[in-house]
Amino acid sequence: MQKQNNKALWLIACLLIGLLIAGCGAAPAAPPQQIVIGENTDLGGYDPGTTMSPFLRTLIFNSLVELDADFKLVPALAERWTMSPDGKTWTFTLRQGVKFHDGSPLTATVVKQNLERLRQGSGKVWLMDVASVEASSEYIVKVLMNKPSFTFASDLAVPFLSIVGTSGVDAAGKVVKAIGTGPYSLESWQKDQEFVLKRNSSYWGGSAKNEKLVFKVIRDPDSRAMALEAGTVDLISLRQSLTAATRLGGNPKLKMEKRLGQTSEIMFLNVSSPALQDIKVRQAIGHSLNIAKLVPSLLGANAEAGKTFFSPAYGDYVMKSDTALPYDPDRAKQLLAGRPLRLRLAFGAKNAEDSLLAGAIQGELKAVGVTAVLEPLEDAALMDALKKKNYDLIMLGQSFIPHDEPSSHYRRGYYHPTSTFDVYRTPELTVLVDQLFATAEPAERLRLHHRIQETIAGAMPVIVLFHRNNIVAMKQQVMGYKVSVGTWQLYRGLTEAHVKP
Amino acid sequence: MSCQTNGLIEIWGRTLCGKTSLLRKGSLLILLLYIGMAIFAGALAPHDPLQVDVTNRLQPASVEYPLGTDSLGRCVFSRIIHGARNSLLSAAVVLVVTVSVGATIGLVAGFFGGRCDYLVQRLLEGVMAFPGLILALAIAGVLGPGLENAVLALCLVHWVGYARIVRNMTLSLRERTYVQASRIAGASPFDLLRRHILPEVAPAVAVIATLDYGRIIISIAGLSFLGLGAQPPAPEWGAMLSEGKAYMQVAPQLILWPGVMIAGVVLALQLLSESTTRQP
Repeated sequence: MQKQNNKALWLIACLLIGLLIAGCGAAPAAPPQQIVIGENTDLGGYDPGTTMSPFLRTLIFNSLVELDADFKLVPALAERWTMSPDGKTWTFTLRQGVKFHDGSPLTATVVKQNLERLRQGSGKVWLMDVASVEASSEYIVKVLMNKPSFTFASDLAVPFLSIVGTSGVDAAGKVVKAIGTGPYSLESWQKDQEFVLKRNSSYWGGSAKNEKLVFKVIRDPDSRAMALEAGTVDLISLRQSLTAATRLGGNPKLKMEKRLGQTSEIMFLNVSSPALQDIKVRQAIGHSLNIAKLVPSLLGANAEAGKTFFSPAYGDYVMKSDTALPYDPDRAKQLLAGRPLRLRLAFGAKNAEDSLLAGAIQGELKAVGVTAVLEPLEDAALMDALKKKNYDLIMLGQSFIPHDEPSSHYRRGYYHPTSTFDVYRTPELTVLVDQLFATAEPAERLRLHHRIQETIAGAMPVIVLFHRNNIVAMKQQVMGYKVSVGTWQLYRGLTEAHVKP
Repeated sequence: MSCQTNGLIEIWGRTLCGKTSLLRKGSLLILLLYIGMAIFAGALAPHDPLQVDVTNRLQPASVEYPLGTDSLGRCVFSRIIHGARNSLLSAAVVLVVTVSVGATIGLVAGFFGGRCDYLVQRLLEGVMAFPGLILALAIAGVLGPGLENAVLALCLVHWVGYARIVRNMTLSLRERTYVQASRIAGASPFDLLRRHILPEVAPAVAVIATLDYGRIIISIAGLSFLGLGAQPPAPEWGAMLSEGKAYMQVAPQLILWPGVMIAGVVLALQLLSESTTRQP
């Protein structure tokens, strides 16, 4: 018995020594270069045109033309492009030697297939003027338009028109795998928990600094901030967070990067609702809201008070004069002339910023004798209310301007007979928008942009509430991260960033 | 004066005077404080609970604002006090409606039996098959957000409990000798219910209702928390909790006080009801 025990002891001792030797022999493996991101939306799916989170598209995929961090149009998969003088033929010369994540090369045929697929499906709104796409040689794609289209390159820069590799698309034209050309490829995805991107070492734009990007899905903004404080994530976006900026600001271990973004939050006033038909009433509402005071005190670093028709990030395209009416409650009361007014104010129930602002707007309106009934709606119901014009006031993100040139906002968005939503339409405005789309000369286009914005602003169907800041908090050790102006390009900066060990 | 009221007076009377435990007295005192707060809200609150002042938001407690201010600069203390009115009153409405409807249906079903009882039983089983709050959520969701709709939804769900208890008690009571004797002596069904059965049922229902009041307060706060009950800017404890959630880290008082208020009233009711059952 005793002997047996001894034997067992010897065996264990030998094993332990063996392990020790083995441990010494192997060089200590370098920890993988990675950044852990606390993200509030899940990856969603594989299709950059529909299901995939808009914030992730630009990391995995490329478009022919893209927007850089400063919101300028830059060549991506297309090295250069030319437009015929009549604006009806666009020729794109593709970058050579670009490979998809599955190793297959990027050719004109693949681009043609992609544009054809998008034209029938999710990209319909953006490619509605396209008549046909031709692959005229291996690296030349010709797009023929139905009518003059002078901003087509800009239209192509939206991340949902990304080019997907042939093996990622099934026979029915559905994207079933995330096969792109981007700086990262999708390594793993656990729904609503975590997804990991792996560096694409043969990326045409030069290999990214990090081997891996680990996205942890943390929906609650406060939990996200806490994860950063605790050090379990390296970087978070402060989107939809009301208090994180104040809280994290004082933490010496963290730093914050802020940049005025492209998006604005707006409030439409229903011009066909009986209560708001009279422009005086709409002006009264404009005068009663002290946006310049409300926005900074309620949203802090996350937003700038709404002043101009678009975010100032749109540069010359934005009409210089303010669209916001001066705060003047007495003038508002005078315009209302004692009429009792009861308005429904719809907003996204999940939108923390709008919910807060809605409460404040309700208070401001009460001060001039207008009763506002708050209607927090789920996203789908909010879109439905907008579509059916079932609102008096409605708060939402200004859309249909995901690229540098905002003309689609008027035509595809809200102010034209062919628009997706009917907000404000007049024959005069329609003529101006059509004119804009038929004009090639840049200076004249700018003049038309300003005329259109002036015309819309004059009729008060919309109040610009705030311009959103893109704001990111990260550990001091995260170096080289640059925040973008474009909302959806936010994570593009990760390719250049690295964590100092 | 009917025996039913006597029964109720007896319970509350025993609690107020008589030899009662400290626990019972304490819980009753807390309850009276809440009721006083709800009644005299207008006089007690230092500020208008709806007065927005964004320059003065998220302030800590001060002399001017005893419990600080919320995300829109409204006085939390005033909102808590006015919230008592919303919470207690709407829960009381639910309680009165469900007790009277539930008890009536239960009495009729238990006393008359037969087909009527069968129908009521199936209806009860149908409603009870769903978890109460979830069903109330669904109903409130369909009716649309609003405190009135939340009250209606809870009424539709809550009455079944009372109907079932009262029916079961009635079923056994109607077989008692004195009830049978009274029936043979020529008493009408209405008389039998009023003079013999109801007085026996009432005390038990009163105890359950006391306990249930707390549960209803929680349900209303829960629906408001989820955005289906009281609508902004109305002060309601559940809605205040929900609004304060985003500021948990920077201004914990925003969720602390509504939480304390809900917990306090529910605890008081629970202890009161428990001590009533224990003490004969």
